[in-house]
Amino acid sequence: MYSREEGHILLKLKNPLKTKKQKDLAFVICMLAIPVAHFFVFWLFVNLRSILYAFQQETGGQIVYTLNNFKNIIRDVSSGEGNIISESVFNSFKFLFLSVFVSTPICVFFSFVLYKKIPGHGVFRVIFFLPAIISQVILSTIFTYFINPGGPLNAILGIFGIAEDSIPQWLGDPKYALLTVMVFTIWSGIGAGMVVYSGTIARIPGDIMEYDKLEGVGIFREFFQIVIPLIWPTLSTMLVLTLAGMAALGGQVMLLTEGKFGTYTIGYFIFRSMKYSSSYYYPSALGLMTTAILFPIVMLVKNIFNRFWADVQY
Amino acid sequence: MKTKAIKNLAIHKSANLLFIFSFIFFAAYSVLLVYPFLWVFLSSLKSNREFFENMFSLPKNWIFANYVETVKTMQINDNNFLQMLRNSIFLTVTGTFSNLLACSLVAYPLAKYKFRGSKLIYNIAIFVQIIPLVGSGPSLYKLVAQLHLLNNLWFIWILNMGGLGFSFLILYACFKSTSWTYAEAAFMDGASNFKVFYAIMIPLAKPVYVALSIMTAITIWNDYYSPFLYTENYPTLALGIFLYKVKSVYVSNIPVFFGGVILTLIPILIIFMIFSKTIMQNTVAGGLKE
Repeated sequence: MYSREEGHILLKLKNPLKTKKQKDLAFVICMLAIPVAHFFVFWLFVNLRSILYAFQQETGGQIVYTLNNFKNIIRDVSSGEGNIISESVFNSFKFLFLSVFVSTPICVFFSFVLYKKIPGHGVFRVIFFLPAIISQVILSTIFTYFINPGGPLNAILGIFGIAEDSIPQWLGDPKYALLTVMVFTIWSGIGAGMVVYSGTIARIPGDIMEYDKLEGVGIFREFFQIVIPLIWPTLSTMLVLTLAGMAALGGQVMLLTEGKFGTYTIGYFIFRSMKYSSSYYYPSALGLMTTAILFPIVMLVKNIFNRFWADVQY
Repeated sequence: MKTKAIKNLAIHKSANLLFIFSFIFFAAYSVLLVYPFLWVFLSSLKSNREFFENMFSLPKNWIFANYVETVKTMQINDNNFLQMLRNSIFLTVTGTFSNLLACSLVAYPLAKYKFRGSKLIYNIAIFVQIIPLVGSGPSLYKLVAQLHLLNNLWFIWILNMGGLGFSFLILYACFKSTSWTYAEAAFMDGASNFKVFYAIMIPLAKPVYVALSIMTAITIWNDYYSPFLYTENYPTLALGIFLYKVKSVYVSNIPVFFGGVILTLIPILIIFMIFSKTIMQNTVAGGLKE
């Protein structure tokens, strides 16, 4: 019916995507379409606009481009105590130090003990891991009711002879509130950390660990000179992520104190302005400043960490 | 197993002291973890008066009816307990599904196909995780408000459609390490890319999907942050407990409130008991190497 040429043309019209390469490309585009669109809208656009906001202010209904937001932030931070912003910045740093110099060492060290199969380690693992999958809301509720005045903690302290009225209000006391939030962070956080790191250590090939038993290496030496270098990729990544997430911390504050009594953090401040304030210029500026300062620090720390110990591969 | 443990202990004398100290620490920490939960559970069975009079003792009568009371009376933002439960279940199921779907859509092409921009997308995925981009919250909230998507339960579906995140990294690694030979055979038989994707590669990755679903579902079930920001009219159980606690004017009957806490806890505990090994293994830090 058709000539050869016509047949070819017809075939091409019927099957426009003939080659595998073209089909592949079409497939990839289809797959990525929605996530990429999502990214553009909810990440790219949102962040770009946030950067714009940082430079804007609204006076009398008009948008003005200005550096005032940044000036105000610097003014607020350097004005010392008694100021939400400076309090937020300092508290965020305090939490960072807590996590890096208290939580992480505790987690890593005791995960090593877990790895060494201390008696009862199976049970301990399960108990320690539970807070990680239980909602922060539940954890903070139980914690709050437990330490509240009139609650079990104070009653227990009473048994030890500490008078009822000399016990501080914990979360309601400006002197102790931040400390109490930190205690909560450790209480609910180190369990999962211990299990995670012990899993990481467990993945070190057995022959390396056998070697040091033959050599009679002392346990502290084993920990510091063998285990830590070998889990360094994971450990350093976690530390970098903690640093990067420093300004996002706000959950515990919201749950426990709602920022009262000196417990504001950068993360909580920004969260609060999301929901409760109509001015998004100042928080966006604060966020931008924090990112601008934090980003090079994170990169620097990452580079230092990567050079410190040769990249471990096994 | 046991002899090996003892052998480990015996070899390092310096270890003994360490182990004793650690054991005491572990035991103490365990008590600190378990006791408050136990206290809350036992308190939830007391009558309100008994709770205030006698904080420590076992309940005189185990009033399981308190739990019925919880389901009947707990109410936040015009949502009663069962409605909050429904919201929690809805968000968890749709959120998990959309998140895993989106991550699969991104992870699979990146892992298995070469195309321009694949490296860029992968780097963006890593970048987004590491870079501390603070302060986008207000901008995001405003966008949602402008799109009139606040208080829309389906929005959570959209919110979770971001294909980049922990699940993406896991799926990417999984697909990358899956053999391509089945796919090649299927292509020879004339299968399309899509067919290979959903008929071969996804089933091969089933264990990973199961583990990821559990992890994601638990996270969403426990999440109070997103519902608080975006769907306050449809609170989930997690959000409900948070609001209950914060607006303490609600909490007149503490044992009943504790009942609500325990009820929200139970599904997670059940899931954990069934899937504990999977969950614990999959939370291991992967060790990103760039």
